[in-house]
Amino acid sequence: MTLPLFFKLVRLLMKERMEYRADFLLSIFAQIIAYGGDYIVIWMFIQRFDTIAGWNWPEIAFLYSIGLFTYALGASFSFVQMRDLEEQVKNGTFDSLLIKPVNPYLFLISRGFNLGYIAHILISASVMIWAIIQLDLKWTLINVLYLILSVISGALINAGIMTLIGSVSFVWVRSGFLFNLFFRLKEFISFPLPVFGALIQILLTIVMPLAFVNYYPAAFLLSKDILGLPTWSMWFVPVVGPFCYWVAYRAWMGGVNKYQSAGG
Amino acid sequence: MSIISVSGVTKIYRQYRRFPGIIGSVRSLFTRQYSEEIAVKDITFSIEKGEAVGYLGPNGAGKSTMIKMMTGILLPSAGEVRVLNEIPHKARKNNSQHLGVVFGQRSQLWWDLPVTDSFELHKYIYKISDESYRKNLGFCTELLSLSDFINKPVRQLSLGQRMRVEIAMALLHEPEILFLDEPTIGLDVMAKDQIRQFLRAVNQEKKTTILLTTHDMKDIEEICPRMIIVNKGSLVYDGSVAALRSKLGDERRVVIEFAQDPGSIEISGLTLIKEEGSRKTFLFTRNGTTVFDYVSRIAEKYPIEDVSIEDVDIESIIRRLYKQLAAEDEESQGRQPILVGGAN
Repeated sequence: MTLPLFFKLVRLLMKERMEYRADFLLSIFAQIIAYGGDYIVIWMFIQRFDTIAGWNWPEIAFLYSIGLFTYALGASFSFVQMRDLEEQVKNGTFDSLLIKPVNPYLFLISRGFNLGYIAHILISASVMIWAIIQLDLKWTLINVLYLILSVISGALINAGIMTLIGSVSFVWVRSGFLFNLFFRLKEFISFPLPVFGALIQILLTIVMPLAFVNYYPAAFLLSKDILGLPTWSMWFVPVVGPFCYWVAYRAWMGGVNKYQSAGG
Repeated sequence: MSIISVSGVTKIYRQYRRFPGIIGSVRSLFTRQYSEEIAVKDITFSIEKGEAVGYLGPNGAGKSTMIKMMTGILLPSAGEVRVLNEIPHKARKNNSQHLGVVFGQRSQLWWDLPVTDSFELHKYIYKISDESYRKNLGFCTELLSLSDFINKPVRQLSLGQRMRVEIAMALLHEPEILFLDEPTIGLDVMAKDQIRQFLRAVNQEKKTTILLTTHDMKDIEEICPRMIIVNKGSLVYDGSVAALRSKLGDERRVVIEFAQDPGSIEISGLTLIKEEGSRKTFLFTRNGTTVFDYVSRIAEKYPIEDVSIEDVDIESIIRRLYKQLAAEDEESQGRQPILVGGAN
């Protein structure tokens, strides 16, 4: 599995999408409308209280946008691939991955690379840029670097969790309900973490570390006080993503091994 | 050195018990209750380079499982499989470069794109040089007449066309062994015929070792001099088609066209199996006298217009083999209670 092979696949995927151009454009349009609606709901919510846990509208918009942007990056490499994995394992199409001279994981995620997330990227990037202008952030080199690393890490956390859920397909065949759980928990990170009780905070920090996707990096960038944590702890954020993803990848490959010895 | 060697291979599937409903699905995660199903039971055989072998057996006999073990998809529960002198599972990536695999009912093509796109991606993944790609594609295109639809999207192809494409793709990287799982299933006679001729050519001209699973005995007769028959996971026959024929009684079918309907004829040694007026079909089992003796004996009494003698087709031979096995099975099961009774 090489980068040129990935680009080759993307070229074919684009060609495939263009076979149903109208359908593709319409679904992107629909996604933008749907997420636009989400922004509006949060905005209306804030209009009533002015701030939520000390965060005003542009700050929340920034927070939400990082969440959506990193989700889109991660999901384009994982969601549909991992959601359909249980079906592929059940009906045996997964086998055709194992007869190719490629890494099955890298091939699966690249073959299923989802161009549809361009909608999420477009809307979240636009709102993020608007929010950054509103917030008047100090763009030091460190801050720029930190934002970029945090976005990469956030994408890896999302992809990692979904990869981990996908790997369940090899063991229990069914994994759909775990995706439901994931999306439920993901709804929490639309708001700053302190809004919720200790249990949710711990859950989103340690068990399913979604707080590292947007809350922690945004809080550090916006100089919010996080439970009196020292500044250097901000550098946990870029580490959590690669770590999550690495664990998920090992689990996934372990799942393949298990599948090979147990059989479908 | 055998290109494939399978020794004492067993594969047991473990099926975890599942419970219905949402609570059930959570419960399923923690249950350790499972049932075991033996898909392949202590099978041993080896295949030499250049052979064409038919692997057959009824549904659920463990044919696909064996292919999956040879291609490195699954690990055997016991025993050892060696393909190209390697353990397929361990050498999966390396071996796959030298294996072609066609799963009859699972396409590996890009549904909405022209066939050539799938081929070119295959060329890239298998690192095929321009020259050998051109050469192999030419070979397949000509013998499988792909040129009519090679630029069409896969979704517009008929099942027969798609299978031809699938087989061609599996051969683009010049594999040493070609595995085919039910390559002719669901195809019409013409398509089946073309595929058989092609596979025979691949085996004879390119010296590619072929192993195919099938239900269709014609596939075996036309492509594979050797067949391996499995039933309920166990190997029940390994040898040539001719040897199986003689092993299971050398039966022949004699069709006699009489000048006029002779009524019923009783000749010991011949069994009447079909009667269409003056045309009668007999089943002859070799028993010292030749079939000609019988025919001339009949001809003395009744005027005969025409005689034809046919071998019983392989299909009925296999059917008899299965019947025989089922009877043996039943017998051993029926005997058991008596044995138990005797022990008491």
